Amino acid sequence: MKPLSPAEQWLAISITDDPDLFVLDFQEHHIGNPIIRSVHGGVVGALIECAAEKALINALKEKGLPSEVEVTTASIDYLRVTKDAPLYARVNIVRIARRIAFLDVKVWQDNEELPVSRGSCTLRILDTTNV
Amino acid sequence: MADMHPIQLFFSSHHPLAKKVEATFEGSVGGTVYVQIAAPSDLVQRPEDNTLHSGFATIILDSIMGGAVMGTLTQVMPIATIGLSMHHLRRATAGEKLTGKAVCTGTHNDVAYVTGELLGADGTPVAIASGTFMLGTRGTSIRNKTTAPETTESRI
Repeated sequence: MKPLSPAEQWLAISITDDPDLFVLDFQEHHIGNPIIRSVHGGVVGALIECAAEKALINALKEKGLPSEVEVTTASIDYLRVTKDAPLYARVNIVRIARRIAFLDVKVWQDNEELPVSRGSCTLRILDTTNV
Repeated sequence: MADMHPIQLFFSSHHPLAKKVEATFEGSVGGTVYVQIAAPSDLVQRPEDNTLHSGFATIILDSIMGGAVMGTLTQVMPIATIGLSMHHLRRATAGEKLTGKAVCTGTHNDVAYVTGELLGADGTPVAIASGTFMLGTRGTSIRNKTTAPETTESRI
């Protein structure tokens, strides 16, 4: 397994047995508003982008395809206030085309039925076969 | 302190996230703010070419776009990001000097509309964004007092 990058370590993202489910372990440096101790919106966005990348890489590997990907666009809705607790991200792969893929991500804390955020991501699949 | 722009306060504070980013407030004109940022090596995603994760741009642009909104308010009030649309044109390189710009274009029905961009030293775009922020969100008292299910009470 590829070791976690410095960014993934900073975000404290961990994988689970479910290839489409990821966890962001709360860290003090994730705080956005110190008064209400909510997680920074950008950190939630970074989790969405990172989870989408990882889920797509997993899916591409299963198909035996090149697995170098980059986030092109992420559209994020902030549905509820967050708190200083772990965040869970579940990825739904909408479509994998030849060069791009579309993924939806749902993020929650206490209850999957009460998401704190949702994201819609477009990722570029890079052809690394001739590199 | 009272004369400091909200962005300046955020990046000069002991806030753990702000300390991570070497950012300097460059100035503001109306609802536009400018910030200089050194891309931190802690957020490298690809050690092969020392490029950062796209989430770095998302964190920075959410911060400075929120700051641009705060800068336009005539009285201090809590705000919250409700929507953020990010376009990542390229990955920043660790140590790269970047310029962040955010423009609060307008406010309507307590929602502020903002655009932002993160540019390299040569002006090439790293990311562009647009966002919406709810003004006058509820404070901590609501959360602390609320024991009822979240669905009956919302801060935004």
